Amino acid sequence: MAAIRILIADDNQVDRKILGRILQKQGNEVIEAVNGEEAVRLFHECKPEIVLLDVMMPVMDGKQAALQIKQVAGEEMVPVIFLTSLTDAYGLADCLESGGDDFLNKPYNPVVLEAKVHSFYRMREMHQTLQRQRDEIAIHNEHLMHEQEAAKAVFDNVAHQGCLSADNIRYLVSPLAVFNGDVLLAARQPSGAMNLLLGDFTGHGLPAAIGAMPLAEIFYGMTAKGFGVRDIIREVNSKLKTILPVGFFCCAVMVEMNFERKSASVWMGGVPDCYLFRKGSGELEVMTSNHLPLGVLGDGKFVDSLQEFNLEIGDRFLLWSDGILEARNPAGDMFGNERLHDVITQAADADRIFHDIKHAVDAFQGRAERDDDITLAEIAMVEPPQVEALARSQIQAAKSGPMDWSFSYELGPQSLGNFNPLPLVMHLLMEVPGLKSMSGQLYTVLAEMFSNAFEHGVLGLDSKLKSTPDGFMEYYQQRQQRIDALDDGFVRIRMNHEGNGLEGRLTVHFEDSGAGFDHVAMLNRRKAELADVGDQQYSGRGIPLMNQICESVEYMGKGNQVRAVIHWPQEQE
Amino acid sequence: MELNDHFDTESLTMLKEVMEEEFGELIDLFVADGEDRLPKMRTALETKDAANLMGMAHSFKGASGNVCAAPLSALNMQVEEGIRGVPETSVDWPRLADLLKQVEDEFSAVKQVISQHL
Repeated sequence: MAAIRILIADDNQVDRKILGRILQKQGNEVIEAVNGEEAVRLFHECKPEIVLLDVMMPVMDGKQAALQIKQVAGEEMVPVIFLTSLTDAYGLADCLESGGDDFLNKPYNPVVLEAKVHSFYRMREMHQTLQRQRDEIAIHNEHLMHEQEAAKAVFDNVAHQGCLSADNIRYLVSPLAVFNGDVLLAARQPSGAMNLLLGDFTGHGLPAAIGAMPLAEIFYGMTAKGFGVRDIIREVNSKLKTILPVGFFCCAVMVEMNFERKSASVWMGGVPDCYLFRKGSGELEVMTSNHLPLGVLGDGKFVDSLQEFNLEIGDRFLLWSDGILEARNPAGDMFGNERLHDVITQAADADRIFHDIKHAVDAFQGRAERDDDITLAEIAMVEPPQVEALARSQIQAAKSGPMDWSFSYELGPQSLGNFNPLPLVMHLLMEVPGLKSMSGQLYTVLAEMFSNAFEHGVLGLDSKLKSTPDGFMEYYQQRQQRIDALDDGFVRIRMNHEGNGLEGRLTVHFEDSGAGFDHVAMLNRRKAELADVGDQQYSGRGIPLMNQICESVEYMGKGNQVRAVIHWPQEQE
Repeated sequence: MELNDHFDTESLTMLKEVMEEEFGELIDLFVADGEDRLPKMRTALETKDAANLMGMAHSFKGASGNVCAAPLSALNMQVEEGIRGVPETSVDWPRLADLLKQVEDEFSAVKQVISQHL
């Protein structure tokens, strides 16, 4: 053991000499002071590790000296031991109050003295270790905060606001939610449909945040290309399964809102029950997760079946991660499902629900320490967004992009059941600058044509089913059953484009293996309807938007073929 | 005169071991300190300077205790305690005079024993 530097202060030189001698013989370095004042001065000069002080000394007594020494020492631990007689019981409390750590009785017992010195020296070393570690932790923590800020900046660039600010979305998410593992994303497809995903990764900090980056990138990238919930959720699952370590996964709920069709598709995996609030009836429908969280199953075992809903204007989904249920009040109780349910059912009207939930959770938590990991979102059914008006000026006059091309693309039964060809087709169309600026409309037209060819043509589903809520469910059940049983059939897509760079014409031709229908009769019926009630009513199962965009739409053959011609630039309304 | 009438001989042996060649010097220092201190204590008694007398008795108690002169340390403690906590007007000066006389006599005896045995 290295020599311990010890300061002793005693006005009595006999005592001082004996004490100094004992300490030296025990291998310590001794500094002697004759009173408190000298002790304080020598403390400054020599930085001793332990101080032994006589209580009664002239000029400055031991208590005063202890006070000053402790003050100088600050955060450093310098043990101060008072030298007393067993009989000097008076004033012991004062000694402790002035900062003394212990007492040593006169006459000195060398064994006791050595034990005390060593035990205080160890305590001092421990204290120093603790402080060093505390400082290291503080530095690490600061470092971590910097890293998190940097990581958040990167994440914010990937997971920008999307369309979270849309009028039909309300949400609550902590600024640092990504480090609680919570993610909330929303974006519009080219068709105007809206995708929203609320995810909750396991764990906290960077491990929880790291999976959010690829998730956001896939979500935005695929949404922009027109993919819906099924394709995106499958892709995200596959990616997360590949990159996340075992035991890490992402509970998620994803909603795709189709405003044209007034319907929604929902995938839920591992999140607590969420609700669909029907504005008209005030009914609250419980939605339960029917899948494992994302990143658990490999692509082969992953199930992308969806819950389908038809909606009215003002109907809304209320979505959350488990943070809201686990919010605690000062007594430690959790907010829980029951309170949440009560708040929603007691809300004065649908538009107040979101606000009321926020308010109730706030009030419940009171001044309890906020976990800040509450993520909450509401998305409502509204009228479709206005098709973006197309300004002629936006169209590039240059003869850029491919003008004269055509292709034919045929999908067999296996492809039809597993694959959505529209993003790929859209990708080809977007190479034509004149078409790019009308991507939303184009997507709507193609989606409608493909869905007619596939669902009504190949699968033979009856669109009338979808007009009632029960039939709506039935429709999607039948759809899945028939896809599973599909072993022949095709959809053939042919496209042809011609143009001169200033204007162009796209011809889209769909043909399916279905039985077709009596299109001549339908046309006659429509003509009669038009004559009867005018243009307004002509929107049964039809697609007014198609007629608005297409120069012509015509059925051919036995009704299993349809041809649409789209001219660009479109005339402004 | 016997050493063990005035010293705790067991502790004294230990002190000798600790101090080694400095033991003699320490004893000389103790004697000089006492010779210097006792006249001052007597002056304090005569001028009824209670605080000073108490301080010197306290210090003398510690030093004599440390050189193992237990009876001398005990007498000094009696002087100290005759003053500590006692209101100045109620100090029993005749008793302190008696105790100081005993301290002086014990110190003389200690010195004599030292010169004979140490």
